[in-house]
Amino acid sequence: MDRFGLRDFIKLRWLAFIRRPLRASTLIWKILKYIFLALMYLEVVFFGFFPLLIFKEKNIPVSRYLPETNKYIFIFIGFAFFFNMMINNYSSLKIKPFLLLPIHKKRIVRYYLATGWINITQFTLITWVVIVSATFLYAGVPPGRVIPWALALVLTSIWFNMLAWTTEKSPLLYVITTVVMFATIGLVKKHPEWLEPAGKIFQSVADGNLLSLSGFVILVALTYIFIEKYLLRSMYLDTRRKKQEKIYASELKWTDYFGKTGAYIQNDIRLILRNKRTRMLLMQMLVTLFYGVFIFASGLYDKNGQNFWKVFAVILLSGAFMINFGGFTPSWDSEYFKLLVSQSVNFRLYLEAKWRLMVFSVLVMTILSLPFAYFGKDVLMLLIAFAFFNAGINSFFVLWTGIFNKNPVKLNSTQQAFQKTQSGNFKLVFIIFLRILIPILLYFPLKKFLGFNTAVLIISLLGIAGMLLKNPVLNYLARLYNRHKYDFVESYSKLEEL
Amino acid sequence: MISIRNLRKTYDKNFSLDIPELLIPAGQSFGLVGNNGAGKTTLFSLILDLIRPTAGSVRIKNIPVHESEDWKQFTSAYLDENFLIPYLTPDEYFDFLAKLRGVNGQEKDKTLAFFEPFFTGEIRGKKKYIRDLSKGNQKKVGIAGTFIGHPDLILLDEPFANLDPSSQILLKRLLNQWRRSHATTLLISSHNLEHITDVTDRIVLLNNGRIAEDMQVNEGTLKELIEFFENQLTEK
Repeated sequence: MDRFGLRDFIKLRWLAFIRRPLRASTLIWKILKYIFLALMYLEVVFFGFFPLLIFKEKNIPVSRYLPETNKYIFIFIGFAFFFNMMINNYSSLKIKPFLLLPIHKKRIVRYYLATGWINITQFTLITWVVIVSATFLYAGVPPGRVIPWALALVLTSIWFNMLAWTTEKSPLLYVITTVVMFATIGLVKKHPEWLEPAGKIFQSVADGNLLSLSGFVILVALTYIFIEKYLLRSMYLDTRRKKQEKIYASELKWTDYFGKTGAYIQNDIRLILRNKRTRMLLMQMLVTLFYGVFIFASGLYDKNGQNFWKVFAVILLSGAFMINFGGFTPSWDSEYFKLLVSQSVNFRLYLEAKWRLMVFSVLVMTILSLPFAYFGKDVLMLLIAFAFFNAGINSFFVLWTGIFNKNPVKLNSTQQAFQKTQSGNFKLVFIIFLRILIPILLYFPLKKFLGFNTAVLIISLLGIAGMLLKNPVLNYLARLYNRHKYDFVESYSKLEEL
Repeated sequence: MISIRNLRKTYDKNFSLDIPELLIPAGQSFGLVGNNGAGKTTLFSLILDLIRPTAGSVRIKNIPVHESEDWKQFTSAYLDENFLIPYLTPDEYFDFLAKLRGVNGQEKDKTLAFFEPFFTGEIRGKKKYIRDLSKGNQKKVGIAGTFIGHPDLILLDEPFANLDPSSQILLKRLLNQWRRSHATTLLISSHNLEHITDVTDRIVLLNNGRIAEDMQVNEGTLKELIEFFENQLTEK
């Protein structure tokens, strides 16, 4: 049972990594991603040297180095946590081939955990800690204080990574964590003194309190044991497959009203309701509403007349579903894409169905967001203006960007425990950000030069114009989709072989 | 129905499909055999415009498949489970196909009634998603689906694989019954030499991306095919 060691496993993972199907579009993303990460790490390195430089300049005695750093430690921890939650990139493992091999299941799980978590985002906090510790040691802070302190921070980072991995597996946990995260940021803004305990815990570790340090160890150990147990239970082919799923038997007769497009709309509705991956979209709509509450209630936008977050929230509110759903067109249909392109499906009707559904979602989200009018007439005006914009301009933009996302989507993966769910990968976060950023970049100059009312009017009119131009735009997109058809077929069939 | 001229698809140095000419007249039941890697799926994918040819063209009813999409109006295919929509029930899937092909409910039901013995009561009216069906039943759904709307051209890749013996025999009967009453052009590939000779008028043998034999089916065909593949063994 011991012939298969960690080295063999790492070798397999490495081969899986370098032999992934590479596509030109993914290459561009790779480059963008690494540029982004390089900038990120440059910043982390800079902030690593930052404390020492500041302390030297302000002539702070060496004995105060750690306590002073701990006062602001939450910024770095918070950043690491946020980064981990938003961008994670865990590797997936196909467990089926391992199940019959003479290897202990526990060993596979451990190897998976050892290699699957090697995740570039995880090292931001660790890099920072290493640099800070090194500079402090160099400056003369006793190692007996620095080393336990650094250890506690490294354990925190590992724990965050575990937490992000866990929440990725369960949409509900993800929703809860995100809501809690935003709520915490909101609360802490009003009561900054609540953050003091965080610094105090790290200070007590530095002061040699072994109990505090063991707290970190126990937290990480317990989480690890929990995850290991969970994965061991998942080492069966039928895990997480419910015995008999309830069938949503609605005939959706009303879709007939839309003629042939109706057949697609009907299919899309079933797609959304009947698959794990798509049901998550509905969850995300909920998160967005919470996010709106957080932004408006915390008054994040009031200071210095900053309207950025207000506009950001308004676009996200009405576009919550659209931005996520549209961006995965046609990936949602990757599992049966060959059927779509070989039967009498034309992309024009296909795209129109997606578009109608998105516009409908904008309408629903706008109605759900109407209570936010409580925060001011301008919020209401912005909400409606950007709802038009989302429906008339952003919807097409989102469909257009779908062309660049050629990753297939596994709608109802039964081996979720070992697979990544793509709930927060770099590309997705980047595209979502872009989709919100463009209207913002349009709005602020308009407002600056023409005033609020005119800007809102122009944004609305642009949206309405977009909706009126639906036919030519969809025709253009259909031609584009047609041209990319072969690439889609190819990349969707490639991933199955992996 | 199908005319192929100077068709070539090159993947790398090791494999290329090369067909100078192949004409399949309307109403013919056409069989395709060949070992793994002979190019059967590549040829089907080229006919369905799922991949682009390196050179040459495929025309269905004189429509170049990579220029116009009009051929889709009368063509249907089942190559693999990627032609099924996993989160639909079989009935919903059939409805979806019928709607796409502009077929009314009655006509759809008539076609499906023809396949009812094939379904052995496990497909229709059952509240089960396609993804939860067995591989064999999934295949039955896919095959029956292609016949909805009586397309002029139907492509089936390995229709007999994954089916239990009774279903294989029944499928042969149904295909032959369909051939007698309809002028459908059928393209069928199979590794089962006996089955394929039973349901086709003509068989083309692919070997290393080239047409090795093109024969009209008669009593001697099965023996000829077996001989060919036995010779393949001794050559290697």
